[in-house]
Amino acid sequence: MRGHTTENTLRRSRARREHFAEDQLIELMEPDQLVTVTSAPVPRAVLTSRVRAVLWALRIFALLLTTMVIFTFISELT
Amino acid sequence: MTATESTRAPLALEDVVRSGDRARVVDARRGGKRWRLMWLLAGPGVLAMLGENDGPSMISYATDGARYGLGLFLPFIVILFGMSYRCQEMCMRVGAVTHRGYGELVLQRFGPLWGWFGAGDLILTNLITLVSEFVAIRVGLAYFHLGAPVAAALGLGLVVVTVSGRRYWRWERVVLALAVFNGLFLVAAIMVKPDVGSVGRAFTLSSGLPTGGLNTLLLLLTSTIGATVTPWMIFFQQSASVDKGMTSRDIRHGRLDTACGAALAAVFGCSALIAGSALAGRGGFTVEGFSGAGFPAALSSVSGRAVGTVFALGLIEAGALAILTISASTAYAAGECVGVSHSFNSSPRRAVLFHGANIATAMLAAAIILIPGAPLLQIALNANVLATVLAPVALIFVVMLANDRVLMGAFTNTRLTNVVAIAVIAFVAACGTAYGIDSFLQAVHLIGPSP
Repeated sequence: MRGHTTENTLRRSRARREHFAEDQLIELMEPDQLVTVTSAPVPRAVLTSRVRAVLWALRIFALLLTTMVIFTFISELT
Repeated sequence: MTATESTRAPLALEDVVRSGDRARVVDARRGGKRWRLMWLLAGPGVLAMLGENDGPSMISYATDGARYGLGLFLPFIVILFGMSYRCQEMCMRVGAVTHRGYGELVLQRFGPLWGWFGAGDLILTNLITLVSEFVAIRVGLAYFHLGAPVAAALGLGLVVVTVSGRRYWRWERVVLALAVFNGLFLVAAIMVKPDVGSVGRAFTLSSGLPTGGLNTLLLLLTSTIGATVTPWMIFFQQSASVDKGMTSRDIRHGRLDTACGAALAAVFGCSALIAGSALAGRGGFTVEGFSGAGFPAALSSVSGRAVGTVFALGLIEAGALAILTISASTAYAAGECVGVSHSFNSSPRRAVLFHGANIATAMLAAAIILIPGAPLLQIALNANVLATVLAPVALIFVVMLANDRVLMGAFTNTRLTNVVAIAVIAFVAACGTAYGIDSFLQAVHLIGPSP
């Protein structure tokens, strides 16, 4: 069903832009732009312990401040 | 290398629709049609920037003006949009080079924990911000004696109508058309007949720091930062650049799009402040005094009914535009983190979560504003404060992604870009921390209120 819809859309696209054939249309895309390629995950980065520590410090900082802001907001309301 | 030169992968409907959009870009580029190319590639940058000139932001700017006059805040807004450009340019570039959204890149490259933390931050700030967008529409409509149900129906209706276009291009053009009306704040600023000399002097920073309570000043500073540098903009611009089909060849135009958006947003933001400054020193307005239909009504009584009407219409537009862009950013984040289709080019049947999240978040926010007695201005100002507090974590990942040679190849950040980006993150974090700690200590009565 999905393949059929894709085929119909391709046909309509082709009719609208006569000077762009199907292959040319797809040629306009970069290979890693296609959905099948972007669906595959990128490799996991290796983080050094220092970078991980900085990220955790930032995360804890953000959580603490968020809690403070929400607490203040609620206490202002009450 | 193009897609046909590599082994052809099976095509999704999204690919076919996007290739049609790319055909027009390539056609314009080959034909040397500069303006058409700019028109075709404009969108994500302008929408991110003008989307951030949302209801709470415009109320923050106008409150700055009403409370402190032109003074410090006018040049501050311009500097902030310069900072915002630095952050958003990185998002556009990472999106154009990797063809992946911020949420999925963080999740895949740094692990699910960081990805879900980021998505959690975004959902929290987006929900609160969306509520405040509906509040802004409600404030604007209240001026015309229309109530919260109309505001909820208007915002929600817009989301449903724009999503039903089933193409990113259509969605983008409709939202861009709406964004034009952000210029209403410029009209309001001209109508209050500001002293041009005072506006000019404000940019020389000769007025120094404004007087008033430290906590209120910090609240306004932090909420003004939150009006220009926010997590949703990061998610939105990167994902929208991907959905638009931008490639590394389009980075120059992407920068121009982002710079134009920043310039327009700065002009319209300053305009809201100038319009608000008409209230400075008149009647002892307080920050809390602008709830309900306060701002347009106050402007109407001071500068005439026409100014109040234009400002009210501006607030409705600002809220409506932001509802569309913020709902979209939530939908992109949900689709990216779960790993399912997340594009306006996908049919609702194929991208259920994307389209569902887009409408559901707007629906939830609309339901919240129907609760009577909500503290309108406090919600609006605190939405931006929360965005400021959570922005540094999101920004640090943007910098890491933009420096990732495996992903970005030759398009990684320059040394200068990194220095400026880190300075921006440090500044945003410092302001958020100062306000968070000061207001918390006051709330638990460890320090007294500022003089």
